[in-house]
Amino acid sequence: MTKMKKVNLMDLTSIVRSKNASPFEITFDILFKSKIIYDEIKKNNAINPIILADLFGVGKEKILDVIYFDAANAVKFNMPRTVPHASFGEIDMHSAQQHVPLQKLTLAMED
Amino acid sequence: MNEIKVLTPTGMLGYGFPVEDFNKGIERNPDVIIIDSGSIDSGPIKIGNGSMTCPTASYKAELLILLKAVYEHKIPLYISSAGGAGTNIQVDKIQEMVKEICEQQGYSLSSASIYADIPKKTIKDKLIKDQISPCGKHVPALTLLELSNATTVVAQMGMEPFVEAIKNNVDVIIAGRAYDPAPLAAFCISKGFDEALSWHMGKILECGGLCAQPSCQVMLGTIRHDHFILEPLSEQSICTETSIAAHTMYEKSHPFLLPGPGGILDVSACKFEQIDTRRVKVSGSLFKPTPYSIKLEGAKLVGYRSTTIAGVRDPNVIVALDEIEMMANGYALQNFPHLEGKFKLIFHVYGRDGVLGTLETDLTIAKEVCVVIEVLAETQDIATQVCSKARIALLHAPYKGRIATSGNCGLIFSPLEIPLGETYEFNIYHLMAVDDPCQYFPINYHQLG
Repeated sequence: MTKMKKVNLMDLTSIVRSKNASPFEITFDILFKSKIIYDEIKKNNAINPIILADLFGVGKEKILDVIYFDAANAVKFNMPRTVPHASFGEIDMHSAQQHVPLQKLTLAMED
Repeated sequence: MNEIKVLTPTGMLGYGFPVEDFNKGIERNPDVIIIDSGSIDSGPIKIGNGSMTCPTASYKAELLILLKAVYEHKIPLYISSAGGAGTNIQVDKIQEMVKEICEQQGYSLSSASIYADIPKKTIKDKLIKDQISPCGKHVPALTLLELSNATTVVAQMGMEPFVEAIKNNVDVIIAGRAYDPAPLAAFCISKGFDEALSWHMGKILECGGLCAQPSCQVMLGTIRHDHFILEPLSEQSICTETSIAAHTMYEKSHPFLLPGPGGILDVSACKFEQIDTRRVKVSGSLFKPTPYSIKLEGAKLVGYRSTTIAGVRDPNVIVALDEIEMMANGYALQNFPHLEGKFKLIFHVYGRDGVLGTLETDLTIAKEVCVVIEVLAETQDIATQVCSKARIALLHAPYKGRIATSGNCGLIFSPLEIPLGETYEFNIYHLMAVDDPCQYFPINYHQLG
């Protein structure tokens, strides 16, 4: 059986970020450092709505469209904004800081 | 024609760029200079009341440099989504600046202004015919009430209105709201280049040097018949396969299917290749035509805001901030009972959950926090009065266990309450089906200078 080890997402990636995709939606991009890492993540479906909902402390229905993008060794997913862009109660106009919970994500990788 | 070179000075007119990098670009003999001037990122107020993203002086300083290149080197300049939201008012403001510079400098140039405001009557007719649909899962269906509440509605034009203006060989295009890659796609496609590659290069270059590593401003894009090449003009920056792939999927809800007016750009089979230390070659993009629709963007006035900013260092106050926020609400209502339900008041607590809000999982108590009070009300006067009462409560409220009795926070500004002016909310973000891509985007031609 393959030996597994826990690895922090930040050690596997070159870009982890969030940004408005519209006034009503935040998009998150995770770009892996290499094709080998990406292929393993994709094969195991390691980034999925259940793990993300747990990480962000939200219902699974809030994690939309987890999509793997081979040409960029990347995964993208979306979440609805808590308030429409720049309306009363706005806390992150560009949604540029909402990725931070991803920095705590640990994944099981082949040793 | 085997290739076209496109020079992009920066991702946003008014944000600035190093002139030496721009001049390096000019020495490469570009065929066109293309610069985006808009984004909905800085909020609905730009559509709502026509206020500009950057100060007038910033626009003029950059236009002076750009128009000199247009005049001296005969390179056309295309500006899109003028002024921030690309409303008619903003197109005219930029047009006025261009005219003024031409007159001052003695430049004789032809220009086209392309407008993108959509009359509410047009939208109403389309709505009745069921030709308007929400753009995205979280957008409610458009109603006649919301349509009438909107102050201004623009639509993102596709490439066709630009192609029209290009046919007339103008030196300068000042366009209202446009799909970001549209001016570049229009130029390259009208010169016979592949539509998928043209849209893809447009998607990347509309943000200037944000696709470089580290990000910079000035970029040169070279399109050929089966690929395009991207190169940053700052010596300190490079393009990498990762930085270009990353930018392809930037601020879009799908990583490889990018829908726009008239079709979907499909980059799933794309190849990003490092051709030397600084340049990346892109090929394999596909374009699939779809029924034509344009994206409407509109905003409504929801009131006026005021704010107060304060710092808190006393740990007893920091843990009592929720209680103090409730006391602030109560104190405002006690003084203005007639305003019940007529204002909104919240504390943003930086150092606690100010940036992530309900998504914050780390609830470690900070040594020091910043409290920003946000109040929204029907008029500026009411917003400031409520904000004042909330500020007084933050400063003096006798929270449970208080022993430092002279004040709960450190204020930094006097005046203590700051009026913020009008507050808008996006209330239209919908697709409108159209038969003619140019019909709603009238063009005015001018001879300047």
